[in-house]
Amino acid sequence: MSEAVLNGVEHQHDHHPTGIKRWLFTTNHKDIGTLYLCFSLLMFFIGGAMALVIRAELFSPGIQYVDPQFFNSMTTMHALIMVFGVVMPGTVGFANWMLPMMIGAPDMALPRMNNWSFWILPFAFTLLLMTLLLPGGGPAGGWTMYPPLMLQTEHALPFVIFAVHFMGVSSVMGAINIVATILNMRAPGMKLLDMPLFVWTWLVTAFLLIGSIPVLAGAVTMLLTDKFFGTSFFDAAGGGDPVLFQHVFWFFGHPEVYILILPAFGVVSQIIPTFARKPLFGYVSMVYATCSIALLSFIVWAHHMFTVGMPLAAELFFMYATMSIAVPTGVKIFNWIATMWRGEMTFETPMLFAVAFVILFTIGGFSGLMLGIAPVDFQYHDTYFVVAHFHYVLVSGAIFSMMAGAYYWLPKWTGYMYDEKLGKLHFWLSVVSVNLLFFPQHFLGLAGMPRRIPDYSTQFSEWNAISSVGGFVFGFSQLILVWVIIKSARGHGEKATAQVWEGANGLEWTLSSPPPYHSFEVPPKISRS
Amino acid sequence: MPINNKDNNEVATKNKRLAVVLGLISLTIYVGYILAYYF
Repeated sequence: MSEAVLNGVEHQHDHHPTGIKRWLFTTNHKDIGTLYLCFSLLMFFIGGAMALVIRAELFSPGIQYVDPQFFNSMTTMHALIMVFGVVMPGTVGFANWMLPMMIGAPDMALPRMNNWSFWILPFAFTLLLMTLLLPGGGPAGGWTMYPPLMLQTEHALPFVIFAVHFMGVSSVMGAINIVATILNMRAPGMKLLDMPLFVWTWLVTAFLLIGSIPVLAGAVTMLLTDKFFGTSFFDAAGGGDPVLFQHVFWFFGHPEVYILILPAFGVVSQIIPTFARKPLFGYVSMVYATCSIALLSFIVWAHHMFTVGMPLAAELFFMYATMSIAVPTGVKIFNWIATMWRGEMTFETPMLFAVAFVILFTIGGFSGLMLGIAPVDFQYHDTYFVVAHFHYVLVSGAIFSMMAGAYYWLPKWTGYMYDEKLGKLHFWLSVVSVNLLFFPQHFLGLAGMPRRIPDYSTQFSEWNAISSVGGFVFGFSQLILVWVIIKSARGHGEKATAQVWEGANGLEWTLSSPPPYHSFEVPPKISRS
Repeated sequence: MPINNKDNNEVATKNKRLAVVLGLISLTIYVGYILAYYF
């Protein structure tokens, strides 16, 4: 690997606007990264509050607190907010903060576009959230927006569609910026295979975004024209086909899963070597595994639609293609374990979250394999088993990696160490409650409880009650994270060194903590050892 | 960020060119999908 030698850089350009103007007009990658991360955290609590409405209603059978229409709005909005408002902006926040520092660049390649990419998001989510105040309420057809159900949405439909378009534009502009930054702005001498794995996973993710988000935009545009402009893309009465929407949606939707999880792989691949005090095992195979996962993600979409009906040959193709993704994913998991093997491991909060990620994401991956087996999926489809599966992947997977990343890089961002005791308390409360929340949902699904219903048969009572208790504990434990961030940001804690962690390697750790306003005004020299 | 020397102007041009190409690819997929199903 390479070693950076900084050549006595003076950082004298720390002048920047202050107050609201700093945040509105900023073109600085760190400021924009902070904006993305704060936005993601805010949305995490809004989407989380909706999840608590769902879990409160499901605590016991019968209709308790909300009417079924509102319940369906909550499941739809919760998903849209968590996918597009929390995980995507959160990982883009990490990318904004860390990519230029990791590759020795002064900033992102297109700083003004970077500002736009972020500031589109608050408009998009205002449009989405205000639908709750409209006559007929918010969208209630599920985040997948399948017609004809979604077309029955009242006033909320155009708002949701425009919101999704804005989110898409923001994501594509962010992705273009990331590709340009990584391909054109690397420090002299840094080859592609010298880049940290977080940079690699983001390069691949950015291409996935560019290739798949326009497909979602196309699908929802066609939905809009079917509703308001007399077309029949998805209307059987006019010669269209509702199943076409599902194909188009999932052609976007499956790469989207990897858009959410690949940056998480990148974060974990930075953290585990640091706390195992060993270089990442099988770096090149990790890069190839990332690229393979991305390519395969475009040919597996119909595993979401086995029960819709398709030729046997197609079912077999999508089943085997889906199962083949387990190979590169397994490469990654074995490499993380091999990195830890005989390492001098310590378990600070980022490492705890990273190890939990490896274990719990693997559980989510295995239940995904089960769902990928076509004949078995006929039993699991649209049950709580699916809900358990994707929450293991997205909460104890993507969200845990973001928490790991937040603890790992917080001292670098703020210049102060976080409160380790509070961090560990946050971890243990989260890891216990997340399993209490989602593990019983496997049993509920296997026993036949359908997803997206506000009421259920009494036989499902016990596991639902346990799941709801887990949900509330998980939700409220996240307030500890906010407190930890506030404490660190306000300078309560030990002063962080530039390297922060004993085992940390890479260009970002050669900069002071917090780093100067402009990261590398003179590119660092990369020397090979 | 020093942008006054020739090298950095070249990088800025490369960045813009790449952004336009990627943006056009993205736009083509979007419009292409809709037109393909329309006709």
